[in-house]
Amino acid sequence: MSLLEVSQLKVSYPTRDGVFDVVRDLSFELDEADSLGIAGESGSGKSQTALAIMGLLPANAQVGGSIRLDGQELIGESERVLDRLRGKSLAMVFQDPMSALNPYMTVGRQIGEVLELHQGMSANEAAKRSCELLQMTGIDEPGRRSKAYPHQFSGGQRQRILIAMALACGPRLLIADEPTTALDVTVQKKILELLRSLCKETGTALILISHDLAVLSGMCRNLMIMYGGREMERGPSQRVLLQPTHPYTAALLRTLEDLHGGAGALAVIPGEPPDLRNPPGGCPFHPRCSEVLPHCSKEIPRTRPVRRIGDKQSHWVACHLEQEQ
Amino acid sequence: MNGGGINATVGGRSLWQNAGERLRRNKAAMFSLWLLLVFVVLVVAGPWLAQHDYTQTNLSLGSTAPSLAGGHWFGTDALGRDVLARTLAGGRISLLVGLVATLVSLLIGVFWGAVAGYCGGRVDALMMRFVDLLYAMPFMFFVILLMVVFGRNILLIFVAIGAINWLDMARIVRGQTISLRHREFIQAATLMGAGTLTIIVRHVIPNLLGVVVVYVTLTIPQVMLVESFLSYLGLGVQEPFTSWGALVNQGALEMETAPWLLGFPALFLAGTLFCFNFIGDGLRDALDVKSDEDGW
Amino acid sequence: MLAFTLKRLLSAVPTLLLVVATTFFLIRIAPGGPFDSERNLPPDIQANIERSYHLDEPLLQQFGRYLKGVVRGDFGPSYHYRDRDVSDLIAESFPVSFKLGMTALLLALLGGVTAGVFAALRRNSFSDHALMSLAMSGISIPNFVLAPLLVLLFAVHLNWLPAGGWRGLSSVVLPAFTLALPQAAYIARLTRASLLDVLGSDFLRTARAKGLSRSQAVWRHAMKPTLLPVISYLGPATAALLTGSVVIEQIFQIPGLGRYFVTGALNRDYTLVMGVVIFYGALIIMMNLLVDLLYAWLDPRSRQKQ
Repeated sequence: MSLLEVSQLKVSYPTRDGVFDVVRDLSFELDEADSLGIAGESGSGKSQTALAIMGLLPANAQVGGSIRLDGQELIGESERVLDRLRGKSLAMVFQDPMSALNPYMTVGRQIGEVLELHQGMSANEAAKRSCELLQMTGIDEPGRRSKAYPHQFSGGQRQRILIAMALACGPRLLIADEPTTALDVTVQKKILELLRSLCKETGTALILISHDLAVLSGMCRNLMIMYGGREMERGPSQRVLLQPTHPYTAALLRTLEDLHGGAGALAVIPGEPPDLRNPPGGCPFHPRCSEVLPHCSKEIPRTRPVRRIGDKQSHWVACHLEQEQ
Repeated sequence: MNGGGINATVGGRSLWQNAGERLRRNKAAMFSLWLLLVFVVLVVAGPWLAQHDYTQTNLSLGSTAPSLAGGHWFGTDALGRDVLARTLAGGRISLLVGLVATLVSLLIGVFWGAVAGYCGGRVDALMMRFVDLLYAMPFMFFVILLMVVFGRNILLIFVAIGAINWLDMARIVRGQTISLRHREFIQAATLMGAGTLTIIVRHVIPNLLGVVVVYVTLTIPQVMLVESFLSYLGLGVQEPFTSWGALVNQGALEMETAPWLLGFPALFLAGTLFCFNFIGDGLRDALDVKSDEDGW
Repeated sequence: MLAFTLKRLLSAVPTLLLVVATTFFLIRIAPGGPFDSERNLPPDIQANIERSYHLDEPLLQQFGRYLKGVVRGDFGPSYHYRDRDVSDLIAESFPVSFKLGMTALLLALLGGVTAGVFAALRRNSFSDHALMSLAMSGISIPNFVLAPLLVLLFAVHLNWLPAGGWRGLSSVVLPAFTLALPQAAYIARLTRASLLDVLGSDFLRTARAKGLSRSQAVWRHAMKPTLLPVISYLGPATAALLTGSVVIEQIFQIPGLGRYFVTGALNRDYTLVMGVVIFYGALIIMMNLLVDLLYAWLDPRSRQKQ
């Protein structure tokens, strides 16, 4: 049994103009201490997936399908049960460290709060432990700094504090949603390195969300590419990057190569991301796809394993092209 | 707590069209808009509508209760004056004060705020320090002082009320101007060599329109409240003129024997304030204007 | 913090000075003297009276004299209540206004914050809409309209409460409630908007992600930031309550400072009006000072900035 099993996940929002789906037919698994990177443009549904796993979607969201953690179904579970899982077995680090910490509470208290809540520590024990956690995430002079307020820290330091908070109770799964997007490039690397080493040390499974394929491939063993709320391609990172099967993955990689190769004009994927209120029929990527087939606009491609000769890797793709070959 | 809401792009409709649609869906605001329209038409058309002159006394008909048959639909006061005519006449003054004084505060406030926000630096600091200083003043008491000193002059009421209400407007406009200043189109205009004044008049002020519309709608009832407060105390509009505040004052004296004297003017006054407040609130939601009062 | 307190205290001085100067010179540029309205007095008696009030001195000297008095808490003799000092009148009547104002302020805070929090937590529910409509009525119905209506209902028809006067607890209920209502309404709207803002903030989502329940997250993390705007509103609220008490004391015949002020204004009792304006001005400035200090104490960011 995998640590996390997501199957047929669907997230939608009813509005005056009709219901629109932000995540559709999403299925994947994650093993104990494993790592998965989720990539996609903004609006691809990656953050919504993360919030669905945490059970923190807005009240008007409708969730369907199944999310199991250690075999326990989370969808439809009571808030009381979920509250006991959040922060303890399931933790999350958010995108913007500048606003994710309470500006009116010392960082020591904010970390200590988790420990008191889930591990029944006294205020003193929690304060001591939060200093250790700050030390572990690379904050100098943790004794003094734990009594400081968030605005007295830099963005990178705040993200370290949030990581300390997330890992405080030794969760089984950590979700990091674009944890470095809001930070300087030089700081980004250090934070990612910290995340990777801490997860490895503690045996925490990691879901890392980013729009940056380069970051994900270096951090995660597996990769999932999302577009228009759907899974496009999923497999071992190296395999997906070296042998992209979905035209969208290939297009993303081309933009990446140009970025790093510096070869003249940037390659951009032509066209606009799909309008969620009025999604295109069939494969959501078909209006922008360079290899579009006639039935791409009519039929949603099923996710099927990519099989090359003598191949046993679990590599999946949702594309009609794969079927043709 | 609304983790990652959805921002679907809406193609091709302008800000104002969207706002109009949102406003139309706001029942309280739409109802208020219609009710206010009725009030305004009644008040403006008052002299032609009422069968009696609002100053005409008739002692033989003193304090008669409202009746359709008697010709005095809202009754008469102790001097036999028609309450309907007086309510409509009072409304003309109250609304006029509301509009004119708001206009005065608008002109001062927008100018002050736009200049401070656009110039920035020392000019801004100095101008806003001044606003801060004025904020700490007991304004209502100064207005009363003015009325005491200079007599109860209706023109003075306009100016005095207008001159105290511009502070909020100045702060809001300043905040908006600063955020606008950093946008590209203003920077583009600067690059193209447009002068400061031209930029303020052509670009800054038109972009402030949304905020200004909302605050004008919310300032009018505030101003009307101040005027009625003064008139209630006997420091505002003087005979033979009247206003809703003055009528409520007179009505309150006889409320046990002739409740219609209090009831009708009070209803008109509270109703009008209600409408303006609801419309202002609705406009704020529709135009998505955020108050920026702690911008300083 | 101490330096900040001192700095803020010092910055209140020019504001106060401005209040005194504006008041003083406004009165002096008034057309006609304070005793013009009296029966035609012989010129020598008129001059005598003016001399006894130092009205014959040069303007600046008068201002200096007045300022010196104000610093010592002496606002001079009343023009209308002969042989009474303005300071005495204030000392005698302000405690009444203070009791009324404080009761109203506490009522407004308690009622307003409770209603605002309640409405925000049940956003778009029936109780939210009902409370906010009530708040809108509180803002739209002037004190002096509401007061006579309440008197008519509770004093005249039901005979539960006295219609006016200042004897015993029961006489405080109606005036304090009427005075508090608009402020409670404003505070309720402020609190609701503020809490809704905080409920949508990232740090509250972080709190939920830590495993805090919705109500734990609200009480532990949302209350302080929600109440900060309410605290900064305390200054304007004080000003509004003082203004409102002028008309409330009139309606309920309460022997407070506000009533003296209106009588003074109608009688052209210049020294009394000046004294009250300066006294209330100082009160409002002091309240703003207190609010600033409270804010700085509560908000770690502004504490450090100072």
